[in-house]
Amino acid sequence: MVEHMNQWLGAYLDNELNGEMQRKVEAHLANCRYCQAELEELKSLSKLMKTAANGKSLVPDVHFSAQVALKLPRHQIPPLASSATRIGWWLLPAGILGAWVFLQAVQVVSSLALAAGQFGLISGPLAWLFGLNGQNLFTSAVLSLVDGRFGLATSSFLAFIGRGTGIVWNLFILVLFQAALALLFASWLAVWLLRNFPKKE
Amino acid sequence: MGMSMFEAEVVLVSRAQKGDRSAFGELVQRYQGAVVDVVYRMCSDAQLAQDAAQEAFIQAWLHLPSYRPKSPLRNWLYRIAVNTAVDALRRQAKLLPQEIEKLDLAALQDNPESLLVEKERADQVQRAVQTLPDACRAVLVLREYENLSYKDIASTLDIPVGTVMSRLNYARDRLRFLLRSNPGQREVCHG
Repeated sequence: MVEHMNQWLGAYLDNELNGEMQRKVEAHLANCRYCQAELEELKSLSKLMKTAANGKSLVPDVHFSAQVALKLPRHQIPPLASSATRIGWWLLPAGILGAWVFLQAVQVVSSLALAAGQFGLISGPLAWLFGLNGQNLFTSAVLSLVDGRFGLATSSFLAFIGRGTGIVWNLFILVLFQAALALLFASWLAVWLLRNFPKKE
Repeated sequence: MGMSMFEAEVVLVSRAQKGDRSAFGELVQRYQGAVVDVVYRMCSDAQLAQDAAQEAFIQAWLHLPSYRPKSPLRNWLYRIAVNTAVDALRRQAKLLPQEIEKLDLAALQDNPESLLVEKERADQVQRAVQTLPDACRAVLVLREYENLSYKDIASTLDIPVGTVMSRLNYARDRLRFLLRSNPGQREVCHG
């Protein structure tokens, strides 16, 4: 039984087949009266549609573009990616400010806990609140985290600068974090200024 | 040396994306014929088509900042036009067209005097096209009336080329069935 190629005839008519399939369909058409007739019908249909289109077309109203102009909303919808970027852009300084407030609060609470511990106001099960070796809880936590994560190299560095008292350490960690936050904020501000006040040519 | 049409269009699009209404007005002038045509072929109602085409341009204006010129503006507008036409038809809840008179497709090619009844046939064809599912009608309209390649139709409607081909086959088979005088005449294999 001969297998017809009906499903390819439309694409053949539209000249959308690649070389090999085009040749296959042509070879089949040469011997298949059924597919020849199908192709002729498709041609007739296409011709009929085009004739029908010519006989029944619609031109835009003379005031079309003016009416569109009158109906245009004042603002366009910003692209989705751009909206997300814009929100992220303003979240960054808000995040930096939030981090700074958090850092200050932790430092104050840790220092108070340390002082309370030194004056004997906190003891027993709450002793962990006032850190180790005169360092407040926050400084102790940061140092043990850094030491645990970066191992020997960090330990040597800490040993080199870390012979000082707990107060020095507390100050060092505080300044370090604040400097990092300030640097982030300054970078953001610089980019914002460059974007909003570009250099005039 | 002056700009080419394409370069001029890129400039107009860029200006319109920044909110320049006069640039967008020029784009409307340039594409209003094509958009009205697609919408009209999709919904087959002159007044509805004018209104839906205007709506399509308003949608285009609103979403223009999201348009990226990797595909031609015309195809992007076609996509909006097709979607707007489908929405307009659904809103309108148009009644299905009346019964379609059968035509002898095979006889048409050898029958020049058939042009005399062109208008009537145009109505029949348009009614038959209206009975197709929206997705198939969109593909057929873009191919037969706007002469888009399969690849362009695929990118315009965001569907694979294989789907373009199958929808087109379905649409043509369905139209032939609706317009043919003897639907069962080719059931027998002569191959």
